[in-house]
Amino acid sequence: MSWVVVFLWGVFALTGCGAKKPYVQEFSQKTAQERQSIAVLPFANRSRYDQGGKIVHRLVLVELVQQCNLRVALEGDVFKIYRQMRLKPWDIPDVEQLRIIAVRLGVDTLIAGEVLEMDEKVTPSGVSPALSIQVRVYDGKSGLIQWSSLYRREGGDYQKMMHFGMVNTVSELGKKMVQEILGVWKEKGLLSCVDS
Amino acid sequence: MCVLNRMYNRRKQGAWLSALVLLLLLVVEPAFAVQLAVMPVEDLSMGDNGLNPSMTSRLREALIRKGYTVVEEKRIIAFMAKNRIRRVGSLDSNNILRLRQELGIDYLMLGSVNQLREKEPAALGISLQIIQANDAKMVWAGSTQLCRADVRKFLGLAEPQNLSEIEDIVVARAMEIMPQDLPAISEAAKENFSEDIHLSPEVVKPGEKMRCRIRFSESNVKQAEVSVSVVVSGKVIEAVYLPQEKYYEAVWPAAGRDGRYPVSVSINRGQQGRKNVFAGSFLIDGQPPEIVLSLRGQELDGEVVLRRQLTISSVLKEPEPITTWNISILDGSDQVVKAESGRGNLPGRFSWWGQRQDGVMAEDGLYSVQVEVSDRAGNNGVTSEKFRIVRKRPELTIVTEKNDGEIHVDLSYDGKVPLAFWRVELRSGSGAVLQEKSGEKLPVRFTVPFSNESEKISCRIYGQDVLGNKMRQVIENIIALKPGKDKGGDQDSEKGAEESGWSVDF
Repeated sequence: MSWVVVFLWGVFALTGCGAKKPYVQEFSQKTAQERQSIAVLPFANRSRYDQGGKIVHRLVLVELVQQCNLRVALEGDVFKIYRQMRLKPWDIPDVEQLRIIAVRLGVDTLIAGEVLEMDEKVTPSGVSPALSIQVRVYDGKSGLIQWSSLYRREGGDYQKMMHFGMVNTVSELGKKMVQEILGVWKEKGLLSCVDS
Repeated sequence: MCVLNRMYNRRKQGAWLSALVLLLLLVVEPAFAVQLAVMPVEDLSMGDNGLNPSMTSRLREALIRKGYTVVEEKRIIAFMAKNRIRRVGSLDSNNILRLRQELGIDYLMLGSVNQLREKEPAALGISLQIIQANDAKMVWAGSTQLCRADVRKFLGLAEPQNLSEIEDIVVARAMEIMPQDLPAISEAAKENFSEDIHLSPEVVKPGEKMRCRIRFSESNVKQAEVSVSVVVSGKVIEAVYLPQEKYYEAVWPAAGRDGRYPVSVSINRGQQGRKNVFAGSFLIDGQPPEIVLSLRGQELDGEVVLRRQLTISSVLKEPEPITTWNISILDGSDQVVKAESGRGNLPGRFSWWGQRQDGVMAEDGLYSVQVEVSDRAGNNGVTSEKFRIVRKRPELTIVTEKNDGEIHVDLSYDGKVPLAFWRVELRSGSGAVLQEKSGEKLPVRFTVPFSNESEKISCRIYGQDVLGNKMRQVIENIIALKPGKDKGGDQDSEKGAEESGWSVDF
């Protein structure tokens, strides 16, 4: 019996099944709202990595299109409204501004966020990327925050055995993290997107 | 014979049919080929608005190999130049629809190099978007990346050796994940009924004019068929079309109490329907900002006094964003001695070390601090507070009187600032202390014996007022001093610590 426990523990440890999940904070009661369209607002970059916000913004956009059958507003349209409203990409719009953005884009949900940490250390033994992001979801009608996720991972967190599973770039790490965040949202029934 | 003729005719017909089918295949097939435009690929590794021509070319080539008809690069560049598109990596709906109209494309590919690392281990990450051109809808998006460290093979065989090989692999992977068949689109570009609404200003004084401008993205707006109105607090204001500016404009006076007023725009397109859009809100503000100004320094008789430093803190009674601020120090004749101004919110605290604008220390006297702010509506708030500069050293008066081998010394002080303490030392020529006196109150009288006129008795007087102004006076020989008052002497004062005239602590 003890051997079975040791074996199962080993399997869990090696396959990373015991890995941490993105933290989700819900701010409003869950409603069975069918989301039809979504806009991803520019991500503020609080890290030292140049264009870190734009990288994560693009990855979120890609994963939303890939994972959900939603109409995703074009980045160009979002930036056009930001220009019109004299908002800078790193500005966090207030409730009213969020409502205006949602109406002008014709979307019911808005996603905004921040890159808190983005780093890629190149060492003789390999590359060690680290990324910490916060993603917030707002209701387009009210401009109020619905839920948010905070997530930090390092390339080594995905290592399975030897160099297998090791993530060597921030873009791949970001992709995996965004996939996991969207996965948790779906699991919790927050994001009711249709699998394409 | 007839049978032979029929057979000949059938063969002839068959040959014609085959030729026709072949011709149709040759002529019609390219006409149905999906037209795709590859926009210049943005390179985030090169900073803001970086361009990667190499990746753009690779993607174009890969799509051509896949069987798509890719629009020539020079036509794309010409389109971007014509429409003043300066940014790469993204495009708004209007420009996409225009691209469809002008170049006849079915789809558009937007790409960005998210990561590019040339040093070992080389890495590349890209993300791509495919947008349907007739309705500007994103139909596919994907990302792919590769690092040399990801590919570890036995003896390094078939591992990518350089960035160029990594680029090839990444592009190939992107083509694999891309949808295999993008259907050709026959529909014309849909009219984009989006509108740009600009409401200004954000904050107004009561009675000032508010403007709301509505510009439609489509070029051929039939103004006779469209009516636009603005609704503010239930009141409908008709917007007027300005043909030269090519927008509708509604102007109204901001009437009502102070507060926020929501604005919505109603667009009536007749048969095409009616639309209400929330345009935002404006704030009526008729109250000038109230400033609470407080000065911190030393105090004398209930008055703030600057000897070394004066701390000025100013806050708004009702916090609100302000646009400009000005803080100035005025002398007794209301002349500006020092001034500082800025945009944005008022820094909470200032420190002034008593230096004038020209760097010279300001003279003793009565001064005032004046703080002036302007809020977003243009309401001005002013407040001022008086203070005094007192840096004059205390002057102690010494009067001596010789009488029968004794010297009577009278030490007095008639300054306005009370003394904190004083001290007198009388020493003989050899340096021995003959007498030492100290205290807080003056005048004081004391007597020192002396034997002959040739004897030397030195006197050192120290004093400090309650503000900290110090004095030191040395009289080399009080025996030789002529009877009467003496205010002069070798006076030292504490050196000012005024290394900087004005500092603002944010």
